Amino acid sequence: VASPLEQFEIHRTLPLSVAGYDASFTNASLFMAVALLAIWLFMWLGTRNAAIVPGRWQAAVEGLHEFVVGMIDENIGPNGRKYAPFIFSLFLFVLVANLIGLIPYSFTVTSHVAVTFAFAALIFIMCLVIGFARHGLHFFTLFVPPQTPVILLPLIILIELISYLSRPLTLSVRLFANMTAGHILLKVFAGFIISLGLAGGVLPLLGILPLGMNVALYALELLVAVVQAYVFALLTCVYLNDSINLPH
Amino acid sequence: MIGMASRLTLQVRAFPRTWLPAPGNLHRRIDRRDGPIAGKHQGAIRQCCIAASLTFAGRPSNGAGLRRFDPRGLFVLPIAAPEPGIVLTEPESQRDLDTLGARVLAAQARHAPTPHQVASGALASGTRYALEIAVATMVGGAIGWQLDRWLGSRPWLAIVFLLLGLAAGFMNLLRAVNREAAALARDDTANAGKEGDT
Repeated sequence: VASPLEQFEIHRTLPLSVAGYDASFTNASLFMAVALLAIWLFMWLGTRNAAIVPGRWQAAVEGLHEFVVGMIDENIGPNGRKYAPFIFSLFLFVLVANLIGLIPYSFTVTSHVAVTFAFAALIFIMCLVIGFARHGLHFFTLFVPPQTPVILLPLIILIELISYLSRPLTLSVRLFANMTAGHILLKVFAGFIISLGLAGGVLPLLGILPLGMNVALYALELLVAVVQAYVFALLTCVYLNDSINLPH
Repeated sequence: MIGMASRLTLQVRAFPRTWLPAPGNLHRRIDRRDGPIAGKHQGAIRQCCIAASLTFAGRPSNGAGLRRFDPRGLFVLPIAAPEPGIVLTEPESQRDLDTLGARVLAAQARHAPTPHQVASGALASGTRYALEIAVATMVGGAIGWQLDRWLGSRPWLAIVFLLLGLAAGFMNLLRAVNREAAALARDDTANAGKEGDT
């Protein structure tokens, strides 16, 4: 029986080296391309015959877009509309990558902290750039909560700074940990089914139990895939809000 | 496509024909919250406007793009300026509006979160803050460890920054609790106001 961690291994399908760095086309790159293709297909089907009365695909695309824009309106406000394309793309990519990972024999791109941290780092840098571009040095008041006693100020600023610096890490770890844990759990229970099936006597009958568990886990993982994509986009909105509106 | 067509007719039937040519009228009714229709039927009227914009604004949209953000938390529809002097008087129209309002209220009640959904949401945000406490502590520790290496003050800064990170995590949690409490208080006053109206 294969190790439950084997599903996360990266294989080079097209070895490539650029200036001494390994830039091979791997199975991770392949499944990112598959996710992009699926998103492109979905958007193409939804927008090719734009009508006043939307068809099924158009209704799906519009519903999804309305959902994301609603989230932006609620968390950022009118100034956030500019960033709707970015957040919509981010949400859709994470969602589709999570869902593709649930198909047997596929690869879950978002179960790698390198991928999720790359996104989180991009968002973090974006928040900094937007914050300084909009507010200049005034952006530093983000680290000074209103009505802080002067004596506590150095301490509070340090705490706020650490809290702000931990944002990209929480953002990436949450998505990566959720996806990895769920997929390991699925594989472990699948391993139980095979071991019990190969054992003699009445043990194969007991294999029903982990099978049932796996079916239930699959439903849960489907929920986790959607919820984590939502949380990722939601937290991006919350972090962007701090840069755009400067709460205090 | 058949399903879509039947839904459209349903929406058109849901509000009286006399309204449709004058969307400005609808707009005025939304703005004047003190009118006889305002309080009770506001949701219904807003629904009407969304449906009307679907069929009459001439835009390929389900109306989502026409909604605009409003600081009061309402969605306002940018329909043409109100025409003065047009008032809804036909009893037939009023009756239609009443049934539509009742249907909208019923639909809203159906979509209110169940206790189980509320509890799952609380669990999700709880784990979120737990993770934030752990990560903030680690980030604080890492910063302190690196500063120690630079300044040669091992292990004091690592310990201090570890504790600061822990404090940062708990401060996030406290702030979230305060925010939640404020939101609950706001909801309570809004509900009290609503009960006062009827």
